[in-house]
Amino acid sequence: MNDRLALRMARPGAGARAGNVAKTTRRLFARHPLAAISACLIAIFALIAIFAPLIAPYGPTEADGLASLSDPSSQHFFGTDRFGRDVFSRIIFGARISLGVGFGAVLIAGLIGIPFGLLGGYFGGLADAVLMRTTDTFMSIPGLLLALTLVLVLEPSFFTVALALGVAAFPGYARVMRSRVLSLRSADFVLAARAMGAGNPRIMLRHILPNAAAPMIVVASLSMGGAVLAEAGLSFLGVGVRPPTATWGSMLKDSFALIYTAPWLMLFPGAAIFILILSLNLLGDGLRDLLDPRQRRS
Amino acid sequence: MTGYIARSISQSLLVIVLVSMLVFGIMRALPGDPVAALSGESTIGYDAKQVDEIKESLGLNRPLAVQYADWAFGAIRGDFGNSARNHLSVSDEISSRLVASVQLGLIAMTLGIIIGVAFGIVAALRPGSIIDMLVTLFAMSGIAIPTFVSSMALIWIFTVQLHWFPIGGFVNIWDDPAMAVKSLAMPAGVLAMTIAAPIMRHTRSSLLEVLRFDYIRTARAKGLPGSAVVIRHALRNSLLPVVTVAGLRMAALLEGSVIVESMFSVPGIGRLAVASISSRDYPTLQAIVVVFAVITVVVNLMVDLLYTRLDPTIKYT
Repeated sequence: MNDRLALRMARPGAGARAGNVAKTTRRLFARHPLAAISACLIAIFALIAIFAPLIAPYGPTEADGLASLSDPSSQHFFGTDRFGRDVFSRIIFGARISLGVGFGAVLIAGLIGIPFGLLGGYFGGLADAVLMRTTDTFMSIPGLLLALTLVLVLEPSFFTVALALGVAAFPGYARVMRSRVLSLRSADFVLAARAMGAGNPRIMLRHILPNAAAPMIVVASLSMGGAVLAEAGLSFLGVGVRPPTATWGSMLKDSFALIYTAPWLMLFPGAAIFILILSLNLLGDGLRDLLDPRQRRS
Repeated sequence: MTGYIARSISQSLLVIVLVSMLVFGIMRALPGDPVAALSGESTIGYDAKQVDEIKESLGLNRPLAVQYADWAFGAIRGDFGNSARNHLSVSDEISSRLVASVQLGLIAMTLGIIIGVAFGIVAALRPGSIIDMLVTLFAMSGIAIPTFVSSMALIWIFTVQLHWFPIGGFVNIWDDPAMAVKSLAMPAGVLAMTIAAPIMRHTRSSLLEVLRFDYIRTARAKGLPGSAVVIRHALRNSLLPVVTVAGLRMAALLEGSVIVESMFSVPGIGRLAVASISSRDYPTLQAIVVVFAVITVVVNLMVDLLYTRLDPTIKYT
C-alpha cells in the first residue's frame, strides 16, 4: 500500500491538492480570523517543541538545589519548582510531550478508525456489524478510564500513552468515516468507476478515501484537543509519561501539593494547556465550517 | 416501534457483554505475575508449589473462558471478587461509595443543564451581542480548561484566599444540607462547567435555528409576549439535540468524577478508581470500568428511547 500511496503522491494531481491547501489557508484567514490565529499559535507551540533544546535556557531536569521554589525573575522567567528546576524550560520541553503524544494519538486513532469505518461502511452486512459493535464497545468505556487501564497494563511511556489515547479515540473516527462512506458508496462517480471495471480496493482507496479526507481532517483537529487534554489528565493522575520527564500534567500535579506555598507554579502549565487546547478546538471549528459545512453544529 | 426498542436493548446488552470481555482480557494481559496482581501479595520468596496453590485457590489454573464465565456470572450477581488492596468485597466498597458519587453527579448534572440551557437561551436571543460573545467565550473555556486546572483555580481562590469552602470531605445532603452545599459546591461547580459548556452551545444553535421558523413569526404576530414565544413554542422544539448532548456528556461526567473526586477528597467511586490505580488494585479497577461502561450504555439507550417520546415525527421501524 505504501507504493500505491507513493505513486499517488507523485501524480500530477498532487499539485492541485497542494493548491487546495493554499486556498483553504487563505479562506481560513479571511473568514475565520480566530481559527487562523489559533493555527499560528499551534505552529508556534510546534516550533517551540521542535527546537526546545535551543530555546530553553536550562535542561528540563537540571536541578539547582539552592534555588528551590524561587519567584519568577530574570534568571528564571517562570520561577523554579521544588527541586530548583527552571519552570520556563520545563514548559518548553513539556510541549514536546503534549504535542507529540497528541499527534501520535491522532495518528493511531486514524490508523484504526479510518479502516474500520471504510470497510464497515463499504461492505456493510456482517463486516459492518462486527466492526461497529467493536466500535460501540470501545466507545462505551469512558475514554480517560480506558486509557488509564491500558497505560497501566502496558507500562507508562511516550509510546504507550499515545497508543492508549489513540485506542480510546478511534471510535469517533470510525463513526464519521462510516457515515461518509455510506453516502459516497452509491455516488455517481463511484458507480462510474465500478462500471469501468475498478475493483473494490481501488474504489475504496482511490475514490472514496480522498473524498472523505475533509471530515477526517476536521475530526482529527478536534480530537487532538481531546488527546492533549487526556494526556495532561493521565500525567496529572501520575500514569502518564514517567517523571522526571517534564509534562504539563505532572507539573500541575506537583504544584497542586504546593498550592499554599507556591501558587504561581500552577499558573504556567495551566495556561499552556488551556491555550493549546483552546487553539486546537478553535482551529477544528474553523476547519469544520470551511471544509465540511454539513457537520456544522453551531 | 416495538421492534426498534427490542433491537436497541439487545444491542446494548451485546455491547455490555463485549465490554466485560474486553476489560477482562485487558486485565489478564497484565505484565508480570497475575497472582501478585490479583491477590495483591508478592510471590517473591515462594516456591513453585506454593505459587501453584495460590493460583489454584484464585482459580487461575482453569481455562481462560471458564475464568471469564465465572467472573461474569459473579458480576451479574453483583460479586466482583475481592480487592487486592484490603481484601474486602469490591461490590461492598463500590456501593458504600455510591452515595457520594450519585449526589455529586446529580447536583452537577442538574446545575450543568440549568446553566447550559439558561445561558444558551440568553445568547440565542441576542446573537452577535456582547452577552452572546461572553457566553460563547465561557463555553469555549469550559471545554478547553481541564477539570484539574479549574479545580486548582477554585481551590486557590475559595479555600486558600477566601476560606469560604473547605477542600473536600463529604457531607450527606440529607444529614446537613448547609454543610453539604459547602462541601460539594466546588466539585459540583467544576463538573457542572464541563456539562454546561457543550449544552450551552447546542441550545444556542438549536434555538437560533428554530426561531427562524414561520410558526414563531405567527406566534409573535398573534401578539404573544416574547417570553411565551420562546418558552412555549421555540424552546420545546429546540431541546431535542440538547437531550442527546446531555446523554453523551454522561461519559464525560464519569471521567471528570475520577479527577474531581480525588482532588476534592469526595469519597466516591471516582476517587476509588484513582486509589486502585496507585495501589495497582486490578479487581477493583476492573469492576469500576465495567460499572462506568454499563452506566454509559444505559444512559445512551435511555436517551435513544426518550427521543421517540419527545419527537413524534421521528418514526422508528
